[in-house]
Amino acid sequence: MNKIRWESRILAAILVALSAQQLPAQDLSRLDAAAGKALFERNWVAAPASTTAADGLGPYYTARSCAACHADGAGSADISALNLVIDDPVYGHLLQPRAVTGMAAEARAQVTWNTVRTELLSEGTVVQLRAASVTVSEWQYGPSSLPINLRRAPALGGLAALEHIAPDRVQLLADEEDRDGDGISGRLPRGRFGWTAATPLLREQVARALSADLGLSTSVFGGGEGDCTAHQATCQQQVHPGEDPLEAPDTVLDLLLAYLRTLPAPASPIADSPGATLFSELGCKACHVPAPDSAQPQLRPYSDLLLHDMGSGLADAGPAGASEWRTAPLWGLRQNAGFLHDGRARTLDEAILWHDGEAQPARDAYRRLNADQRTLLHTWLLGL
Amino acid sequence: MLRLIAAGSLAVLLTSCASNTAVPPTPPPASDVVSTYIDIARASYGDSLEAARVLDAAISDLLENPSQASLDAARAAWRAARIPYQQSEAFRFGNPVVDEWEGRINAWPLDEGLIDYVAPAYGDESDNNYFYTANIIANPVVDIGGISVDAARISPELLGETLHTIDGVESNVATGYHAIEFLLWGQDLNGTSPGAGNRPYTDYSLTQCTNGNCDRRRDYLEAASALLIADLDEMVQNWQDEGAAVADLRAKGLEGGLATIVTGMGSLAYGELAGERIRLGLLLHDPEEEHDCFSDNTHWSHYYDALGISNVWRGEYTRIDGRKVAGPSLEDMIQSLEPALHAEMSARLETTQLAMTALTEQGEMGNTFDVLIASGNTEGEALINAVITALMEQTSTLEKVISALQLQNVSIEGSASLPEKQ
Repeated sequence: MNKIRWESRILAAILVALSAQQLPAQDLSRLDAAAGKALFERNWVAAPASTTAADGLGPYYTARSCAACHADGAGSADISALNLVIDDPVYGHLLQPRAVTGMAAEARAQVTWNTVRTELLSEGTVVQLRAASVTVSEWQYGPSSLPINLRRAPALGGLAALEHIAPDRVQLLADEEDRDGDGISGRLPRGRFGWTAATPLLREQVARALSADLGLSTSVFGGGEGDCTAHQATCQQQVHPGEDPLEAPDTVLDLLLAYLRTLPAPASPIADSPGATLFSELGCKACHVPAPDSAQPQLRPYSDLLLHDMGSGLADAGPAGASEWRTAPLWGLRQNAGFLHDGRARTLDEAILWHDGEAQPARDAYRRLNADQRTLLHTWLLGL
Repeated sequence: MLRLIAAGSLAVLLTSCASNTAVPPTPPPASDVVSTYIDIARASYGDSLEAARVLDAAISDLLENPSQASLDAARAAWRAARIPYQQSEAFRFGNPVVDEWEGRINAWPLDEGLIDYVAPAYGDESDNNYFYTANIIANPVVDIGGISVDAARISPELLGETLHTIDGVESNVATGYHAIEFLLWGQDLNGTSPGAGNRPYTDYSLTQCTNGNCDRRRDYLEAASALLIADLDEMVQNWQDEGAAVADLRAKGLEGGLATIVTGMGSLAYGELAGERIRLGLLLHDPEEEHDCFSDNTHWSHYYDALGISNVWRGEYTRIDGRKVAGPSLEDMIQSLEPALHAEMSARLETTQLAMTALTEQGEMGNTFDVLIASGNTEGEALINAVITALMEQTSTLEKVISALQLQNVSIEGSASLPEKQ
């Protein structure tokens, strides 16, 4: 390595002055968030490329970048941003619609939405509830008979703040046996993140997304093959180990987290608005607990972070699918495009009318509201 | 002792800047400042287009008569083409017409394995067992992003339209300056040691073809160059009086126009340059986490980015033919309104310029950006940190300028939470 030689004494002096001036830690962490945002928006490319830090995509993948599905940290209901969960022994957790250059995708999937139920609300408001059906062709390893369940990309604002809610506070809210007899039996999940709260730490959730959605290995989920199984020979052959065994080293993971931590939880609106009162009166608060950690009343995700049975209409198809869902935090609702885990609900009317199971009484109460009351509630919810 | 010298020279700099400047009696009208900004944008893109045409001519020479000399000439033309283009990057942020277009011509990282042969595992110099299979140059039909593409004829349309839309918003990895750079230099397989890419000129020879498919490689290079010209021409049109970028800017009003100017200056300096292009590379120690990774021209790219920011501030741009475009500027406004703040900003920009000059001096001595960010290169790290600090300080002073002008709705890329410095 060449030794640095300074051409000019003045330059040297300036540089010494600058580097002696310690970079303030706080400023640097903000710059790291900027670097993390760049990684969040980066289009990853297939290995081997000249850039070891930005290659390793795939071999199968759902998106090339985080921002493809979470632009500016917001959510997406774009069909191309939906995860196709199949949990198949050959195809792996996801059915991937894309593959690196030179490989065919695992299959081609087409999502169509069909109206499954029509409801009439007061004053003649007709609400059509739709559900997805997925048609798959061009299976690369033979057809799978397992059902495909969809997951949409949620908005990410406030995500990091959920980590600050103490586990024992969440435990206090749990009532698995419904001892208080209110018909609601929140079950303590394994973790906190994801639609079924399966992941305890945000770091793990990010690593999971890097692995499953982009096909990037991390210290949490190793293996450059991403979501390709031992049965997928063409995919396994594509894995080219580079200098660094991890396609997304810890620095990348840390920078992404630094960025996510700057995505704020939206500011809470005034609590005593008419919409808030309706929310409370309908019983929504039983699960969408405004501030689940009483020691931190400023953190208002509107979720108890527990699992609830939401009825068979929302449950996944197939034995491995989810039948219980984490109460979705409502803060930042407006940053989401589409509602519920698969984006089937286009409006708040639809989202609320899909509620069933433990939420049935609250939904029935909602059906009795008049149009003005519904508008008040919607306006308030979209201000969260 | 060194610290004393350093403090002394900084003080000299600050005083010289403050005392050499004549204070204009009244600030120029904002409309004139915005007009100067548009003039410089038009000239910067015009020069970028002109330089791309010179590059295209050099590429034609290379294809007509492949030799080391014609390849070297094409490489020199590529480096020259980066000079006006990098200065134009100060117009990217704040002007959606530019930002949305930018990915087509300056996208990074480049999916070079999609374009041409690459070494099987990066960094393994001894391994000449090239990975030929999955690239457009080698394959008339290729699967891209899970879709089968007919690439029998390599044309600007194939690159710009088919590949551009094939993977939704996520393409733009096969065109632009870096695609041409890759085709002229090839991969830089030197890791964090000195040296750039070393593609043989015979990769373009029809009679002594190396690495296969020279005819298709020639087509690709020609198409990428034609597309670059077309894309730059589109941007030149956008900055004419009736163009989309000018119309957008005018629609924002005068305050909105000034806000656009500072948004571009701050976003390029902070989030883009200090954050993504410099600090990220330093943290990852990735030898190719550098903007112009095949040619090792990154130090000049950064230098001209910084100069572009300064151009916009000073309302003055020196064209590639030496003519000057100049007019009333943001600097003039601040000089008249807040002389002390003007002195501070001048000193900040000068410090950045000096740090960037040091970067280019090192680069020209073989200590290119990829060498400086190597793990354990403490002097390199100090130099890079000096550049980062200078850009950060420059942007905090810019925040004061934004306050002084009472500009609203300025969002600087990467610094939604830039520390408030009172």
